[in-house]
Amino acid sequence: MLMKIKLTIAVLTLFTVIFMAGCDKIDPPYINESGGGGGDDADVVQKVLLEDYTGHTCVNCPAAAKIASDLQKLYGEKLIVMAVHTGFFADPMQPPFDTDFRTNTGDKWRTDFSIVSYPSGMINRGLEGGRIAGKGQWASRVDAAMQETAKASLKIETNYTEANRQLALKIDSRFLQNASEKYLLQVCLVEDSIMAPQRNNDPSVGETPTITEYYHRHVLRKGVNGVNGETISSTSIVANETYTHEYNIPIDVAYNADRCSIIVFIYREANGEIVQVEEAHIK
Amino acid sequence: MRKLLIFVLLLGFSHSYAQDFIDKAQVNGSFQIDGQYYQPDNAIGIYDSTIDGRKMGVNGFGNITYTLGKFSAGVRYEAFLTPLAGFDPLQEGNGFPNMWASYQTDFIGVTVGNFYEQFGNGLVLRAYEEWTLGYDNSINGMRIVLRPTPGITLKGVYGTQRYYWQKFENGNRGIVRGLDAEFDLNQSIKSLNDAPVRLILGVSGVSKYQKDKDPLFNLPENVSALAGRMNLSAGKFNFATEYAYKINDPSAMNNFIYREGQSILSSLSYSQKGLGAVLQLKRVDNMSFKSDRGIDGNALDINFIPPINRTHSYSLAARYPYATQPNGEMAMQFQLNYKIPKGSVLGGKYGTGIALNFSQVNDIVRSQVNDSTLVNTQGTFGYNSDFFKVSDHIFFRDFNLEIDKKINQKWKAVVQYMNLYYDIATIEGHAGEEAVKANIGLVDITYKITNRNSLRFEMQGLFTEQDDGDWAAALLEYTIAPTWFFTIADQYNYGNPDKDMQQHYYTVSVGYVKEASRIALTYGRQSEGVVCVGGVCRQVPASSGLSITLSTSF
Repeated sequence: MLMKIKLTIAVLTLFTVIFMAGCDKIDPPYINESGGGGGDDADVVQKVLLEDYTGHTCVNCPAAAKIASDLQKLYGEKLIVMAVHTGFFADPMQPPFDTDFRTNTGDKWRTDFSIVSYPSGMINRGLEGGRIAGKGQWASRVDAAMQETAKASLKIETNYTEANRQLALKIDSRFLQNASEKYLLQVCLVEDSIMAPQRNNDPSVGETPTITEYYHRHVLRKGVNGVNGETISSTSIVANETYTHEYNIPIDVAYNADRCSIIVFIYREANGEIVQVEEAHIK
Repeated sequence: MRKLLIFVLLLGFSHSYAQDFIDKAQVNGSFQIDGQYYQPDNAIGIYDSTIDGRKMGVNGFGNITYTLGKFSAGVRYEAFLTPLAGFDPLQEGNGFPNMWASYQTDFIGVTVGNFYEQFGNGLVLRAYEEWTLGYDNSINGMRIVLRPTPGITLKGVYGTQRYYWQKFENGNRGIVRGLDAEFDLNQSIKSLNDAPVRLILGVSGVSKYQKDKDPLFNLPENVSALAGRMNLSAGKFNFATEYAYKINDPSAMNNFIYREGQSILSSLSYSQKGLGAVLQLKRVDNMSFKSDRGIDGNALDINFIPPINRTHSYSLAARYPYATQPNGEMAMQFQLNYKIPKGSVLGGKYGTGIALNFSQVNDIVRSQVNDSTLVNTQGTFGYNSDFFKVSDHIFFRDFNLEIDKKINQKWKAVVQYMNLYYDIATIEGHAGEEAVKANIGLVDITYKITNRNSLRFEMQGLFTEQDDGDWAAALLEYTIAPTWFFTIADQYNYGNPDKDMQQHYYTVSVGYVKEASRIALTYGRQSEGVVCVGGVCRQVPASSGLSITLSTSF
């Protein structure tokens, strides 16, 4: 009997030790006031693209958009966000959800990357830890992507003519090292801050179940050079050589040109990973 | 495959008696293949673009276990090529996700590799596999079970959990460590061995380690949960309860709030011949516990919150199943089973079974931590909550009454009525949609033609003004025991407010069973819905085509 009592005490002591040792009690402030690191001070800064796959009837999507916005505040221009409205939750429905933000490009990406739950994200379309990331993983994945060393730079020149709503684009891609593998250039048009209703179930983000005056941020409007972009060079990439691509595109009258931007990214054909991204306002 | 070969060779050479290795060993296995050929069916919204080239989906597994005395080892093979519609695309792949070896004596049990485990009711730890959900949170690590004296069982586990086919590396998810101790007083103390009052006490502790790589929040890298439980039985009564507590665990599931978690589950039951009654109560507050704080889907759960609702098997009764809300719920269930005795007026020659069940789940009450912080704001404590207060917000309510009656040697029948309240906005995320209030009735009649041949007929009706409106369902099944069965069935959504969706979902099935093998072929339509097992659910999209299920074991 004595042995059993001793054993019981020993077990309970072990539990207490493990429980106490295995606890990190966090006191306020809970929000990290430092951070925003990565993307060193080198001439070419590694930028990161966060693609937010979303829809206007997706109730968890406003909370995800808030995380994207918080991350942009932390990383500034080093983080570029693009909201891709696609899938069931983006389907136009009865008013007030009759807006159609879907694009052929977004729909193709959704099927190519097997996105079935919303919100989902991709951070530079990286494969580390799985290509698709839930909103709770965005922050750590963005931070990890920021630590990567830049392999290429992008320069966007825009020339927008108000009279005929024509946009002339000149994009210079430059790699820092020679490369034999194939890279593609994807050019996208996005429009920011479009006001339209959005379903929501998070009272801390906005009214529930619908935020009537919701500002949809960084909405993908079209793939300028197709759904998969185009090859940067048909031959091997030469370090520090500038590869120039030019486009002339009309800006739809339904879009607010003051809020339109061009997002350009370079990705590996072999695995789809984005190596550099840049954004520029069209005006 | 190379790993498997090494594993098998190790098994072979580690035993000094090569002949015993073959002669005295026992090998068991089970296999299953679920396949479906998908066809476009525009009337129910399935187009070529929906199928997107994936005309075939096949999920399959094989388990093989080798046992030699106190030693056992096993492997599990899985292939999802491509996964059936409704399963997570991350399932796509094939290989041996699980391999294990184990040595068990009366005193000690050691397992290395992948294993399943549960502490108590699972409030702080449950690793399990559920094929129909595509769910597997097995632990890859080590488990030790000690039984130092009769009545005392100590368990220790550590490892990482399965996340589809993704290998654990670079801290891409957390590490789980746990201890459990159970004391059976009646077994421990000789003089109490045969006592009418029996008491079992248990305590569990689980800790998760995951590196903080988040730039936005200061996150706890070590999160612990502790639980205590008791099971007291006296004669025909049994009382069981378990309480669990978890320290701050901000995660994608709780919107990164820092409040602690709590859960309590209690059950009081009475049982005697012909009569059984059980009352269950549950409170859950912020108790999602995952080994990756960034995950918000059905994966990497360390714990399990048991549902206390009846699991319905008839198709329309099961159309709106409850999904556990780990962020907060207060639930109760009462179940009464009574068998009206044989020979009485109501019991007749064979007796009559009556099952009465009522369950309700409400939200917990949450209040702001201060005037300027809204409830559940990320990066804050989250909210305050009075332990005993129940919110007016009802998630789910199910009242059902079932009567089963064997009328004579040829006929038997089951009749069921169900009244349902289902908060589709919370449970399925359809924000803004009105809760489903439904009445469901069904009758299931079996006619035994001969000893081997029988006919079963089901008729069901679901009546609601919400969601997809009214449904009717009918099924006719002819069985030639013990080998063949043939079924035709139809679900008709005649009350759908969208006239175009007033569709029939018909199926024709044939099945063949021989010994431990079963083959079933089904052709027809599957309506969109939700399938839940143990309160864990997955969406099932509408589909049309031919499906096959093949299973066997040895």
